[in-house]
Amino acid sequence: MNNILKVIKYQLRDFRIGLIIFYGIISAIVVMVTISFKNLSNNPNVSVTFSGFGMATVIFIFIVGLSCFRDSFKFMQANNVSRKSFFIGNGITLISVAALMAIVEAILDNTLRHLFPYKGLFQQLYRSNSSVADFLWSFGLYAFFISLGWFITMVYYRSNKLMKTVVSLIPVFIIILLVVINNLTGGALGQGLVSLSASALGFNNGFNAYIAVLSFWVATAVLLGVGFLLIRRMPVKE
Amino acid sequence: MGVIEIKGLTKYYGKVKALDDVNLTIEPNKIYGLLGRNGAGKTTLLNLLTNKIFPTKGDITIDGHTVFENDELLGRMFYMTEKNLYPEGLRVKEIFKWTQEFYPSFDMDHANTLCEKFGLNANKRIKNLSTGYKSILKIITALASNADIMLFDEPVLGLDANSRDMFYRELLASYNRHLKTIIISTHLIEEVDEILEEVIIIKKGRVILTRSLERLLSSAYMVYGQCHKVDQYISNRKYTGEQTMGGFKSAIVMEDTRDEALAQKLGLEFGMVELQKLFIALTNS
Amino acid sequence: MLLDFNSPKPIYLQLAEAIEDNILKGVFEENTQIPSTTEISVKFKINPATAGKGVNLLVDEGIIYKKRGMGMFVCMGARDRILEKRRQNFYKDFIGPLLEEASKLGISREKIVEMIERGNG
Repeated sequence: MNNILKVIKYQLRDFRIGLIIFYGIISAIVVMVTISFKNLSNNPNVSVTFSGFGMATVIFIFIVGLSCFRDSFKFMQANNVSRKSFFIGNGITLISVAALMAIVEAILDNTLRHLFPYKGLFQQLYRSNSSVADFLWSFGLYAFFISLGWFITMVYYRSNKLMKTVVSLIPVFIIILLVVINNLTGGALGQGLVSLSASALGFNNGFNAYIAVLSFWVATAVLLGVGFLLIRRMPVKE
Repeated sequence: MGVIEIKGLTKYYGKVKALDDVNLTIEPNKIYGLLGRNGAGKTTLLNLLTNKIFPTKGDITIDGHTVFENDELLGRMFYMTEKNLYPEGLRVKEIFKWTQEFYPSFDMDHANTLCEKFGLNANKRIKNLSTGYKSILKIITALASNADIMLFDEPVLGLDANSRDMFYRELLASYNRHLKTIIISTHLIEEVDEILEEVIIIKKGRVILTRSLERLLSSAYMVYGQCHKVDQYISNRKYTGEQTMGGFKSAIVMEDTRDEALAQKLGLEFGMVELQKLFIALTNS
Repeated sequence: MLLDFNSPKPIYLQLAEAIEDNILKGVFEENTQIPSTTEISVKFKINPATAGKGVNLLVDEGIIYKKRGMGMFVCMGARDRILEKRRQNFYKDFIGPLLEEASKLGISREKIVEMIERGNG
């Protein structure tokens, strides 16, 4: 239990600088955009909508996920922390960072639209102004992407040279395979995938964000679950 | 009270057998030398002891509890790895601070004193340290950890003569302040033999000898003289490291007391054996 | 105080002899404190168990004594006891090997006596 808390403490400390820089840039942009809109709003011929920081945050949190496994795992092993403690601490940190950033996103989305024409990622997709739904949806989305980044680095770390190549090529093969099947089925596969994603994201059910939230968490659980199986007997490497 | 039991420990890397059915009992509060040639399996054994890797077969327990994935037992051990596991971007003092989080008995004052003694700048980042200073950092962290069980893998690699000397003294000082189990893996036997109490010799993944250094050396001796006379003397004894030159022969007899009467009758002479010689004789393939 | 790690004598015996030598030379006076086993261990880079063994040998022979929590001290009369012991061992340690080597080289007893009286080779 003690070790789990220490792992969380270390990782949060590790992310601190990245988060500060990220939100520093976001704040700077917000200030600049607010000033620009103040000037533009006097001109009736210009109509601009600012589309939010959702995608930037998704990319950022994915990179955070990518960067949080290797060095931490080695450092915790240097301190003789068990893999289980590391995994639990690591998982809690990932989810906490996702939650924190989702709160910020929900707050930004609902404050900025009062300052200038603004639509956050959630508002654009689901045409809803509910802060709670925005938070829950963003939380799920971020949890999924941070876990995905974490999972990818872990698979790479676990793999030997041959496996690394195989793992890297699998997505390429899958894409080629999908394209081939898609052509053979006369585009049916492509349409099927699009409609599957649309269903998973709740677009087919009157833009129900909660279906998307459920999908995100199922995917996150799968990533973390497989991750746990991988880490259980993970050897320490250079 | 910290008895380490290793039972039937076997480790394969793919098809390569790195450790082969190792059985050992490590008693608490003694200084052990884990001696072996390069590639004998020393690091593999230490990596298994601290659960850096998992065995193919076998078990390691401390006071009857398995060490695998056991935070409490792992936290009682500090392992100075040969490779660097610290994040390159952290500073030396940050490493100390975090080590203190995981090892609550870490002695920060002692770590700072050691930094001064070894000339390590605590404000430097890991990536800016030379190989020697990376070793020194790991040595200092280990010595200041105050762990019950300290494991050192080739600790003096890349260190100059002064730092090596200081390491051995600081290790003994730390041991004297608070008794602990120390295992030093090394192939530099002449440097460590006087500080050891127990010796484990490992060859090609097998433990070929484990004994107290004093018993080992007091029951081993060199016998030399005419070839066939030496042969006659060693015929019923356990021996190793035979060397012949012309009609002259020497051999190391083990687990035996000198038979002065027989030696006199055969015209043979005795000599002392130091650990280095014995080690070379035992581990030559 | 020096220890010779290449000498055929075990380190603990060398240590005991070195302490005795220092008592004979007056470096360690009777009733004064001598370095602790931990100090000896660190100074000479030897295992404290080895140092302890050397020291205990002298304790058993009544040459030094331990004071609880204070350290180790030279016994009264230690000097005389060392001298007595070494005199007793003089034949075994020096004359014996001398005669053995002399017989190997074919040096007669008369020649040895003559050498000793001359005071050099």
